[in-house]
Amino acid sequence: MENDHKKVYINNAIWLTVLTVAELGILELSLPKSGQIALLLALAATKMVLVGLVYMHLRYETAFLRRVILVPIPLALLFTLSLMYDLPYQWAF
Amino acid sequence: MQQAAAISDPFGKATTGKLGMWLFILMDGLSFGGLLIGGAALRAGMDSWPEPGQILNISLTAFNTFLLICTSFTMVMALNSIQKGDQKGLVKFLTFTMSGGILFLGIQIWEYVHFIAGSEELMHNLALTGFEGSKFLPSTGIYGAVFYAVTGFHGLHVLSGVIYIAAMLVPAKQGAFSATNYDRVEILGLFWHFVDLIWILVFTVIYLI
Repeated sequence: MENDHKKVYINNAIWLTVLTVAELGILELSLPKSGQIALLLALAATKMVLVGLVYMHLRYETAFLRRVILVPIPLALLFTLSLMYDLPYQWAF
Repeated sequence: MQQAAAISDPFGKATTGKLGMWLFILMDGLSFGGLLIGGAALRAGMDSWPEPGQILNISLTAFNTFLLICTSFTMVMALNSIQKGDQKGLVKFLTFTMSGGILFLGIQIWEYVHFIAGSEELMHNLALTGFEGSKFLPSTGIYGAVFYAVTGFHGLHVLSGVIYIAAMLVPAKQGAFSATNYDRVEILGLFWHFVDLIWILVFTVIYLI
């Protein structure tokens, strides 16, 4: 990580910009709403991974640290989806 | 000041300060997750929800997104500079990053003022989505509450980041950092990139979906 990674950083910024423009393009496509949402979330996730790996230097960290940081994210999603079953329930007071 | 002692084994060269920032980022990320998921759950219970661009200005916010991407680049270049011992480069890129953050906040405040002051065009757009009045306020239904809660919470993070950079510019100008002592710059960078990373999600969920 000590070396000059200027080119990698510039390429990453270009990719992030291209993906942002692609997100705006998806809004113009005549896709079903669920398809649009899936594509937009996929692009957002890709951008977040690019920021994390390149700008936050996760790609240069140890595999253990990467796991410590990345494993809670799918777990949080899993717990959230589990709790979603409560949504239709109407609380009566 | 010497580079903080590195923790060996599983965390590699990561210093205690860096691990502390990662821990904070994880916790803060879950706070954002709670807000966004709460917003999504509230949205799921609504009969109607404004379409992208009906009320919010997507072009302006897309520019703000591009701006944050640029500041992430300048922030990582600040670290790259000091890793090579270039103190002038560090100060220059930190100043660019701080300026970008201030511009981002300025645009967000302008957007808020536009919504809170109200206009006939806004009233027309609000009416199309089933809301009354000419102003888009936090009290404008669940939609207004979710929008202001999420973007306001993120804006506070940008403001914190700007103050953090300003505070780090002082020792940077005094030559406190070097090619062997840049831990605090790296930790600052982690926070700023996190603010950018979260905005990517906020932009998608609040403005585009």
